[in-house]
Amino acid sequence: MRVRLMNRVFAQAAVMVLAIGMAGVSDVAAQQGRGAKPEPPSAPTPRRPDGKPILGAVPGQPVGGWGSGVTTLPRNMKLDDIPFQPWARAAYDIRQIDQFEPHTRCKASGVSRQFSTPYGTEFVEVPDLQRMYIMDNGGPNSYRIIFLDGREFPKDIAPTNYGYSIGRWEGDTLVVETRGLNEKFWIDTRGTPHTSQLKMTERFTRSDMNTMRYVVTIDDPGAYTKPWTTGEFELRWRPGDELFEYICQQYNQGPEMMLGSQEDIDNTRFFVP
Amino acid sequence: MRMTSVRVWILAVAVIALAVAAAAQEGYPLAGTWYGEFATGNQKNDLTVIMKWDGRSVTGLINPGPDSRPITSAVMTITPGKAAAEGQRSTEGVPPIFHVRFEVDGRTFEGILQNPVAGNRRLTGTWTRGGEKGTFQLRRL
Repeated sequence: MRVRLMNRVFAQAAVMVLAIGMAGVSDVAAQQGRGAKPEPPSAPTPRRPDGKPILGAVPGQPVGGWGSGVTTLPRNMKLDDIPFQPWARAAYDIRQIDQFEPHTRCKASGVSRQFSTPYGTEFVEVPDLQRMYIMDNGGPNSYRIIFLDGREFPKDIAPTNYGYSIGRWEGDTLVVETRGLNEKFWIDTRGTPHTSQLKMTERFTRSDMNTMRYVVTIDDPGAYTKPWTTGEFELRWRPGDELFEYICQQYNQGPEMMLGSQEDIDNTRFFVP
Repeated sequence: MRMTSVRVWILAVAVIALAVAAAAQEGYPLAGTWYGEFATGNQKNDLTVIMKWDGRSVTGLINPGPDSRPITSAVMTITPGKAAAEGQRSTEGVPPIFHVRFEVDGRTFEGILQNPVAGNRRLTGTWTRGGEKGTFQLRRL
C-alpha cells in the first residue's frame, strides 16, 4: 500500500516536473520566436499620453502578461551576505530540506511570490480609480491591489496575504511599498523567511516593450538584522498571454504533493495548514 | 451577573488566542499560541502559552485570563544543521535543531521544537522548579 502510494506520488511528481519543464520550454520558445532565429529588437517602452510607462497590455493591442521570473529572492549574492537573524537562516536551511510551501497548498502568496507562478502575471492599471491590479495566474484565483492615489498607510493594518500596497512613480520606475503582510505564505519559492513586521519595497521598471526589471528591498526586523536588497530580476513579456480561470483548490493535480516530504498532516490541530 | 462576566472573559481570551494564532503561521518559530500540558507526577495540567516576538526578544504569558503569569525570560538557541551533499536528495540533509528555554511562575521549561517552521510545530521537553521536575508538551494552534 505504501509502495503504491509512493509510486503514485512519484508518477504525479514526474508529470508536474514535465509540465513545468514544458512551460519553461514554451517560455523560451516564445521569447526566441519558437525557432533558432534571434529575438528581434524590442519595441520601446509603451507609454500613456502623460508619458508614464504602461506596465501591462497596451490599449488597442492584444493582451499579454509577464512570464514567470522570480524564484528565489537571494540573487547574485552569497547566502552568507544576507543579514539573516540566526533563526531565520535556520528556517531557510530547513526549508531547503523540507519544501513545505504554503503556495503548494493553494494559499494566496503575495508580493514577490506572485511572479513565480508558471502561468505568469498580468498588470491591469485603472487610471480612473488610480489603482493597479496584479493578477497571478496559478494561485487561488486572487489578485493584489496597488493604490496609486497618493494615500498614506492606515495606522493599523490587519495582516493579509497580499498586504496593503501603495505605489508611486519615480521617473520611469513604479515604486511599490507593501506593509501589513501576514506569515501564512512564503515570499519566494525557496522559503526566504519573513515575519509580520515585513515592509517590502518593489521597484518595477519596464525598460522596453518586452522587459520588466524588478528589484526588491526586504525590511523585516523580525527576521533580518538590517534591510537588504535583491539583485535585479527580469520579467519577460508574453504577448497573447491571457488570464484563464485557474482555481488552485480545484485544479491542483497533485494533492499528495502538498505534504512535501512529510508523510502526514496533523489533523488534530484546529487550523488546517 | 457573575456567569456573564466569566463568559465574557472566556470569549475575550478565545478571540485573543485566535487572533494571535491567525497572525503567526510561518514566521518566528515561537510566536503564537501554544496549548498542551505539563506533568507533575501522575497529574497532567493544562497549559496555554502565548508568545510574541518583536525582532529582539520574546515576551508572553501563560494561561491567559485572571490567573495568567508573565514569561520572565525566553531564549531560543540553534544547533546548525547540514545541507544535503551535491547529488543527494534535499531530504538527506540534517535540519538545524531549535532549543527553547523559558521561565514562568518559578518553573523553567526546556525543550526542542519539532517542525519548527511548519504550521504543525510542537515543543516538548522537561520543566524544573527547585527539586520538582516533570515533562511538558505543547503544540502551536
